[in-house]
Formats: sequence, C-alpha cells, structure tokens
Amino acid sequence: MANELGGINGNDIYGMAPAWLHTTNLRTNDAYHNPDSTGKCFIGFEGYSKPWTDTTGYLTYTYQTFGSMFYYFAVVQNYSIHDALNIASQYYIGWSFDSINNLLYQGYSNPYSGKLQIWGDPAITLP
Amino acid sequence: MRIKAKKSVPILVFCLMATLIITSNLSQADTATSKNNMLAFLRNVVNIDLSSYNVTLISAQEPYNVLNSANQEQIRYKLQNSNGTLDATCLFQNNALVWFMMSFTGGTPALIEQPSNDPLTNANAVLDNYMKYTGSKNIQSKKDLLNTVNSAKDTTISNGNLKLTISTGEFTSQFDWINTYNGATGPGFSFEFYKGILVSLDDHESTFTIGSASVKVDQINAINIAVDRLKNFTWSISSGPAKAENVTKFTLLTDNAAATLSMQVREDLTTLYPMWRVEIPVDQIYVGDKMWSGSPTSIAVGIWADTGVINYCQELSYGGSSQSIQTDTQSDNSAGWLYLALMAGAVVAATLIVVTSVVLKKRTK
Repeated sequence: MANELGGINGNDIYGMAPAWLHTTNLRTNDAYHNPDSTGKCFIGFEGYSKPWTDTTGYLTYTYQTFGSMFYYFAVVQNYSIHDALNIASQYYIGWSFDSINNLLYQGYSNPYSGKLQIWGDPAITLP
Repeated sequence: MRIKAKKSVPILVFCLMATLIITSNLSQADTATSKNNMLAFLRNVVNIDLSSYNVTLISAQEPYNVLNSANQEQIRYKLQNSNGTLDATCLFQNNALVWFMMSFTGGTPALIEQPSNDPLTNANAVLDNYMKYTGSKNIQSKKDLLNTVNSAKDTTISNGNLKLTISTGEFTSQFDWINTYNGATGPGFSFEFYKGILVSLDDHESTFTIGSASVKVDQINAINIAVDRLKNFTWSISSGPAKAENVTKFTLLTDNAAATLSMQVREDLTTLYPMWRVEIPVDQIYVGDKMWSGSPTSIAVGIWADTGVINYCQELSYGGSSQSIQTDTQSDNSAGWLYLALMAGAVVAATLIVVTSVVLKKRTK
C-alpha cells in the first residue's frame, strides 16, 4: 500500500517503496506526467486497493485483467511503464489512464476510498 | 446432389485452401488500410511532420486477450530523428480509429504547424481535423459545446445529453465529452494535450450503438432488488492455507449502499443498455459459528434498469486501510507493526507478480 512514503534508518526499512527500491526520494507529485528520471518507479494503492474481481465498467472486464495485462504490455510488448498503464487502460477500462473517467487514477469512494499512486520514473522501460 | 466420397475430399481441400487464401488476402488488405489510416491520422490530426522522421513500423497485430479482437488491429510506429523519438500506437476496429496514444522523448516533436498557447484553439483544431479525417458528423455537437467555453480553465458544462469537462494540469489539458441517456453514463470521446502536443485520443463511443435507453427501475428500486437478491447469496472465503468455506451469515450495511447508472453491453459487445451497479458494504461475516475478521468486504449487484433483471452478483474484498499518505519519513519504534504489515503485503505483491509472470510466459510460448 502506498500510504507510507517510508524511511530507511540503517538496516531498518519501513514503507513499501523503500522496501522494494531502497529510496525515499521518489517524486510523488504527478510523477505520471512528470517523471523524476531516477530510473525507479513504484506503483501502489493509497487507501483501500481496488478489488481485482471488480468490474471496470468497460465491456465485461475486471481490474484483474487490467493488472495482468499492464504487466504484459510492459514486459512482452516492451512499452514504458507510463505507456503500459495507458494501453492497458484503453483496452480494459475504456479510457486513457489519466482520464477523468478512470477511477484508478482519479480515485474512488463509496464504500471504500483509494487510488492508484505512481511514484518516481514511469518513463522507464523494463529491461 | 450427391457427391461421391472420393471426389468430395479434393473438393473440400480446394475449398479450404481457397478460404485460407481469401482470408489471408483480406487480412493483409485490412492491415495495409489500418497502417495507412494511422499515418494519415498522425499527419492530419496529430499534426506530425512525417517527412522529418525515419518512420518504422514496430508491430501490426490483432490485440491479445481482448474480447472483440476479430475485427481489431493494433498498429505501433516509432518515429525517429536527430531531435528525439515518438512512440505511437493506435487501435483500429473495422479500419476505424478507436484510440490513439503517443509518448515522446528528446525535444519537441516536429509539427507541420506550431500549436497555439491556447488549449481551446488547439482543441478546436483537433476537432476540425478529426471531423475531416473520419467524416463523422457526431463531432459537430462536441465542437458546438466547446465553443460555448470562454477559457480553458477546469470546468464542466452540459447541453442536452452531452457533457464537456475540461481539466488542466501543469503540463496537460484534457477535453472529455460524455453522453448520458436518461441519466445513464455512456461512452464518450476525449483527447489530451501534453505540452501542447496531442498525445491521446479516445473514440470508444463510435464503436457502440444504443439498444435501449429506457430506465424503468429507479435508484431506490435497484437497491431494493439488490438487497432482496442478497438474502440468498453466499460466497467462499479462506484464511491462509485453510480450505475455503462458505459464508453462512452476514449483515448488509444498506444505509451505506451506493448506486450508479451507466450504459453496458448485454447480448453482444457493441450494443448498450442501462444498468444499475449497486454496491453494499458487508459487516459481521460468519463462517460456521465463527465471525470472520478479514479485509473490508462489499457486494456489487448489476441490475438492468430497463428490465429489472439481475446481471451479476459479486463479493469484493478490499485491501489496505483508510489512511491517507503519511509524508513523515522519520523512523521510529512505533513503525514496527506497520513494517511487518507492509512486508506481508510485499510478499503478497511479489507472489502476484511471479504468478502473473509465469502465466504470461506460458501463454507466450
């Protein structure tokens, strides 16, 4: 969960992003449009995560398909993280990733609120 | 007419070969049309000066893991010059554009005409050019609504069933038109500029037709139908390695029920009907005689608003917590419990990534 920017204190690391990437210096403010060129990108939910079994509202897709196909576009078709999020969103949510209609990016509520956070450098392409 | 068995085999083989050849030629023709359509779109709508780039076709393929892929084609081009690189992808359905996205690295892309500093002027130009590109008359109503706006500030305006929302950021400006049908949100049309360059355009609305816009079930009735259906609903849950067991009892928090109305596909993937989505939080979940203390749960029920028939019923388990982002990065002892919880979450996430990776590798073999 991306509720916690986290920290590093010697051998003690807390927070999801530092645990994975060993840094607390990722850009958190609109990094999707303004990547920080660190070469590191963290994606996680703030608040409550969207259930994978929930429907996206486009055709009959669920967020599980969005999540797994984001991985496919990043790894198999070699799109950048930014573009893989965007293309998966077009196919399975029916809007561009940063659209005002995309609940993952804009945030959701009722009954549980949350949003998908993109920190750091989504311009990177996975090796 | 009877055909003798010996003669029928060569005839069948001939028919099969002919079908394959015709299908193959049709597919190649469609690919060529889509490729030409994409280059025309880049030149005439995105305003890219193609003559200043080395244009490379990266891929032209039927989309993978998409429900209605038979008539679709995903085209990806890379455009390079000494100033930078453009990576553009389009999806075409029956040779008509469904969506476009583009990212660029290096300097500003080479354009035929320089964009205005005013996003409204740029938006009008995109609508004009897209109207010429598609020949679609549906664009005019969007242009008419746009022309009632005086400045490109964050705003939402409506005219009849059409709603326009303009949203701007430090680098971006988005223009988003949504159609509503008796209160049901339908597909729309939108595009986005990044630093004045058109980087995405969605035209999903042109791929759908309206089957019915009749709303005979109101919001209160929809919630009542959902509550009634859930009297006999159960699902299975498990904690850790334990075998999944059925839920025997739960409490619906109907005061917190949320209902939204939107247009959704029913018999086929291109025809839309109004549907209520009712989501009700659930409390006091029992498995046998034990109360379950897992993640927050709700149940979503889809109800066709024109008939009252239930489309789906799905329990939803939420992870995480209601905390907002904590910006304090100082370490302290109280963070120990949080560290343990986050590491547990990390293990789950890592497992999901590994599983997804294995599945994808198997599929791509």
